[in-house]
Amino acid sequence: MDYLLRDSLHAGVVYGRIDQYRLIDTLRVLPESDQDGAEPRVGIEAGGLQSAEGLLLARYFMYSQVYFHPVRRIYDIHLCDFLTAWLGENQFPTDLDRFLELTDNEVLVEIAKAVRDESHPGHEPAHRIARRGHFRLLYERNPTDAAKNPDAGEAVHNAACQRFGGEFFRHDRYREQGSAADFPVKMRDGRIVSSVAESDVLRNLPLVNVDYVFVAPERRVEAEGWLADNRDDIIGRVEEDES
Amino acid sequence: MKKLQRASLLLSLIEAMKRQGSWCGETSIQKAVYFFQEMVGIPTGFEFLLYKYGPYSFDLTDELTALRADAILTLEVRDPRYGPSFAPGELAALVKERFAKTINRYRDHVEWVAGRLGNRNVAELERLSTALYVRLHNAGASTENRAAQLLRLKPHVRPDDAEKAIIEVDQMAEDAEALQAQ
Repeated sequence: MDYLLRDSLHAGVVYGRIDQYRLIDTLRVLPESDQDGAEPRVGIEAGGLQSAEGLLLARYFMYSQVYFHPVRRIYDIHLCDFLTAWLGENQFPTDLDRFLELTDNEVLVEIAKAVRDESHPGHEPAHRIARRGHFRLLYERNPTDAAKNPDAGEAVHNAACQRFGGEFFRHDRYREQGSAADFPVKMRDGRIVSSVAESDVLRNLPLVNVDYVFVAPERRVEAEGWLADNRDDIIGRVEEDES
Repeated sequence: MKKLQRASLLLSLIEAMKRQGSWCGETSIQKAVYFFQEMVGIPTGFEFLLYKYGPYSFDLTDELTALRADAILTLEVRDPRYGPSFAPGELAALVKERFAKTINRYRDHVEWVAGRLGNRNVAELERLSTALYVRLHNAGASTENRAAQLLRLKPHVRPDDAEKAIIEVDQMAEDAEALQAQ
């Protein structure tokens, strides 16, 4: 709840706003079902169910519109590329004092140095971060393509790397993880029911599913033309059943 | 095993469990996959640890949600008093069609697991899967020792039920060896 409200405020979006007061007022520790010996779990009174729906919808919108926005994601990828190039194989130090010394300030200073120094191992990703030369979105998942190939982004990425070279493309795939939004609800007559059974919203809550392929700006026009000409053929390629 | 190939086997297992009368909630699926991987030897690649209701894989929980995100699985409500069940989603048919060879190859293994676990309730599944966990972590130990170990891990289980679970799992392991030898 806390992070949604804070991130919503600071990102300047309305998606993360929820009725946290009502939600907190109606949270209860409940048996997970009406069965004897059922284990206790965090649940909610029926009157708070809409607030819980609001929380989970807000979370979905924040994920799909903010946390998984393609530009935000590609900056993560460029930052990882920079850190890997700069810190080398050992990556972050495991010594606690040295680890704590490596703050955002040190990383930002190093990015600035790397931008000016073409011989710096992280020069290329640093330049993309600091000079807004980030990779652009070439392909993103959509229901029509997913119905033909659930891993359409991977097919596009593989084909693009083969055609132009892997250094010009990045693939970003994330599917929501964790458990279903199933928790006990105490009805007004005292029965305990599953939230998924009681709420149409929770039963049909969309799940975050991201499948992006990014292209380096210097290859963007060429790659977009190539994808437009070959899209159906590429997306129709699914991984082989080698059994 | 490739991601969609593994998805096709999870789908087959869920469908076979349903045919045997399983509720197909997450607990049932967790235990069925544990037997499928650890007793029948199908390399689905999930990491299991001992948890509240016996062996449990956080990776598998993540994968089940990810498969829902891909519309390969869906949730259905069969009785509001209980949690939801997993069922094949809109894209299940596509995955099954593309991985028909994999499904055929492991059909007997899937049916074997579903036939032995599909009609069990959560308490039985907890005992049997914990008995398998104890067997895997105490190779060569006697039935009594393993029953005692099961009781230490699950003190709410009755001693005679613990021993029965150990014996049943030993029998299942013998049957599974015959299946693997086919």
